[in-house]
Amino acid sequence: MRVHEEVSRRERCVSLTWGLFSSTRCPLILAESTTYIEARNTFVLPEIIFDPSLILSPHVALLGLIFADNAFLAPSLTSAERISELDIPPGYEQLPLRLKPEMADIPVFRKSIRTPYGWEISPNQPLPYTTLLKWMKRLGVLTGFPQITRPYCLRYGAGNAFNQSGAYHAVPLLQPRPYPQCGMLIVD
Amino acid sequence: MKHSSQVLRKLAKKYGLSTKKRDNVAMYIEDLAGVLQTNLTTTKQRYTHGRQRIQNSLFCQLAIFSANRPSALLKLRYGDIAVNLLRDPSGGPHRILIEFTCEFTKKYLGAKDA
Repeated sequence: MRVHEEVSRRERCVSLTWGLFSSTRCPLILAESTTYIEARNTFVLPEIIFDPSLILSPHVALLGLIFADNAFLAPSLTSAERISELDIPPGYEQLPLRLKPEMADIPVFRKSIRTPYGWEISPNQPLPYTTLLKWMKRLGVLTGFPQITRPYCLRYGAGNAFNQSGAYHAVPLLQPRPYPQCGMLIVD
Repeated sequence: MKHSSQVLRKLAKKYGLSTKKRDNVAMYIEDLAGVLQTNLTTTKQRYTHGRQRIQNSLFCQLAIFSANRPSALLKLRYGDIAVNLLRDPSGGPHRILIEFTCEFTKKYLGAKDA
């Protein structure tokens, strides 16, 4: 995909994210997003609050991993409830929640290692692509896709969405067979 | 290595397999929602550690939002993540805003966007 102006690509990225999260969005986040347009390769994830399902919300999983690693600099931040108890000082619009500087080089996705006590998460080794590929292939089979699902499928899907004039039009290529748990999930 | 490729060729011929390049199948958000749902509910996919299930789920979400190469995204470090609490001008609870930067994107003939 070639986009002549970097800004255009960023706008598409933002609008894609917005297309995905369809319900009410606070205008502040749009304003914030546009200020980051100049930053290359920086992705902004607004929080999903009023969507019917949180299954597509990276916040849940990402904050979960941060809490599991105890990576917040403030020792009192040990659960999502503690974040909701925080208040922004009057006169300020945002409160940065810093992560521990010593964890800056630790990968978020890490592999399992076998120890005498069973499987544990390696303290610093990244997750290999081959492990991820194995998981995704298996999940594709379990979900009922006739094609093989691979991590790159996500990239192609997002790339196609970027190409469609900034607006996200969902054209499912993979045809899932109905799976039983789907009734509760609504994706606009 | 040579031997195995010969065997593969022989098997492909014997069973009439296609030698065409594999299609670049794209996954969209509906497909991903199904996969994530399966990931969180199935008992048939087992992981060596409970964290891996969440890591897999998070990887898929970040991959579809950022369209990054999987290998670039796997190198995401805590130093590349910024978490902010934002005031919502229309009232209500403060919003958590997460930003992440991928430093390990492919670079050829200058910096290339993901």
